[in-house]
Amino acid sequence: MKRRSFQVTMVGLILLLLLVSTLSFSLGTLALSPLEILKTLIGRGTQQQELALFVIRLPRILIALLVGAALAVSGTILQSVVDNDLAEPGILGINSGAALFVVIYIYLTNGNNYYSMPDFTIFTMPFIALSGGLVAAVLIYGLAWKQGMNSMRLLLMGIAVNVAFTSLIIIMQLRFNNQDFNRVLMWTSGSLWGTSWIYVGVAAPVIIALIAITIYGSRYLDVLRMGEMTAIGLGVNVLKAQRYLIFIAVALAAVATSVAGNISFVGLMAPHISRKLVGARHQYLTVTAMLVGMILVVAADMIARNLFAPIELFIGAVISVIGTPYFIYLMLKQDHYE
Amino acid sequence: MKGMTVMSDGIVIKNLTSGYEDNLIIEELNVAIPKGKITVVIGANGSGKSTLLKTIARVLKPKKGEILLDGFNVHQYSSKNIAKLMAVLPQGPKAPSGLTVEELVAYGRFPHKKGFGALDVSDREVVEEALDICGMKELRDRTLANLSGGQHQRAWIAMTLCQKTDFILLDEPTTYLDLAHQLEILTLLAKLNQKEARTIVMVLHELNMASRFADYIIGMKEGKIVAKGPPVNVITSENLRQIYQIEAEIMIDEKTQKPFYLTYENISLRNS
Repeated sequence: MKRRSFQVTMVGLILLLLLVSTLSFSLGTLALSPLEILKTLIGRGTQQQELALFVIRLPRILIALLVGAALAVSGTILQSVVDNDLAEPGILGINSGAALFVVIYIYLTNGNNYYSMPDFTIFTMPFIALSGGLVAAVLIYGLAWKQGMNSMRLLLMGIAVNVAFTSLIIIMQLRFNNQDFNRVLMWTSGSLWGTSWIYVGVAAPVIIALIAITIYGSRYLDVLRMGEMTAIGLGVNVLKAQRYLIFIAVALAAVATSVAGNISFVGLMAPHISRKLVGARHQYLTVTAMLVGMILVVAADMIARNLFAPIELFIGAVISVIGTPYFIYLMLKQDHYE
Repeated sequence: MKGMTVMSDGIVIKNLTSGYEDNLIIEELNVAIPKGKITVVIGANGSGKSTLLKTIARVLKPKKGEILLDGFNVHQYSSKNIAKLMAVLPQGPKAPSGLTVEELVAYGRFPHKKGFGALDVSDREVVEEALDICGMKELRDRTLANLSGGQHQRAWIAMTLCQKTDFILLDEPTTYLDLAHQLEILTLLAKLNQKEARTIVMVLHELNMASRFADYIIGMKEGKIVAKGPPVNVITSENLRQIYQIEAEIMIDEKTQKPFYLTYENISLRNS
């Protein structure tokens, strides 16, 4: 991969992202033309337009961008650390672990009335989600550890843990009343419904910081992908590096889940598409995957909002429609594992 | 003289016990690998030669005993510092697809770098030198997938060279290669040993190649060392009978004055 073709890919992806975002801005109950968006942005729109743009669509699209970036980078890290292209926070059960803890937390703090949720929970939620994600990660790691780490065993354990956690969330849901039951579905299926600026304020700094750390550690991710013995030979403390990077991946996925619920397959598809575009070196791959993840989530959210409007689909379901066949395709073309 | 400490050169292995959680492969092993020489470890499958190499490379942690590299305990010093003294080439090494030869070779600078790991002028010189010695200069922009088996292995050896270490450990560097490529790789390693004074330790299966290129051979069986020394002392009928359960005829190569086997047969098959 030459720097030049990387730059061309970057420009292409950024243009695509701008296009999808503009489209997402303009579509909705109140349709806005690109010109109207521009006008409203510089403060010359109608009150209704301002409401649609600043209060509803802008924070929602920003959250979509952040969630897409976080899930994609989380998947990129996990695929390299686990050394398997099928690894990603959704499939490994990290998202559902985070979602489960959030649901339990809401249940315990609010009795069974979801709508009485106080504002401070928005700030505590990422931490609750993080502990849930970490519990999932430790569980998978512990169960899969047998005289060292085998990537296929880890993946299968993750799939099992994911099913278990998702079932537990459904059991929890049954304890909520009817109205909240539907609202809690968001955590299992993923949704950006009802996101506001406060979510952006909580998620943005954490996600941006974690992605920056990941980009800084690119060369470690490169070397881990070359196998344990090569990595050790080059002076990497493999176990320590793995755990540190898994923690970052879990944190990214957990923060994303705490604002958007469980969204699978972004972490799977984004790194894979990006590897095809720019190769496997992380100094290029991480940023590319981030952009691809943003495009995927913004596009999926747009479809979720508008396809059957006024009924809104779950964004997780929309992504799964593309994600599931993609997963099967990757599994079929994987090399044999002993 | 008071307070004088003797720094032992080379790799010194003391009372080493190593293996997997419930399966100890090597017990109480003692051996010294000389510095500046080519040492080859031989043995049948499951003899513990790979376990020994992996423990020296610190992929496996010893259960007991220690391994000293020019006096430094490899399992106590930071992995990064050891990586400046000893490079490791695993069997069948793998790299991300799409990587070019030059990009791969540059990873050899890893232990010498901090932060983003950007290479400076002196790093570039080291990469250049390594490509040159391994004859990979013209192929620097090729991706690894587009190399022959021998070229592929030469690219990896160039990477280990970039680490600028005194010691290079190689686990079966000639496996999967045909005869011509085996010779190509071993000749390159001999050149590195002679021209650059690198100490080379490797596991090899091909005994005649081992005999021809090694200064020192360690023969292992069931986790123990049954023979060690220069090829003339190790490649003997009795040793091969003990190590591999084969009956072999040993001759001396006029050209190299090294022993080689001519024909052999399996003892267990002959007796049945």
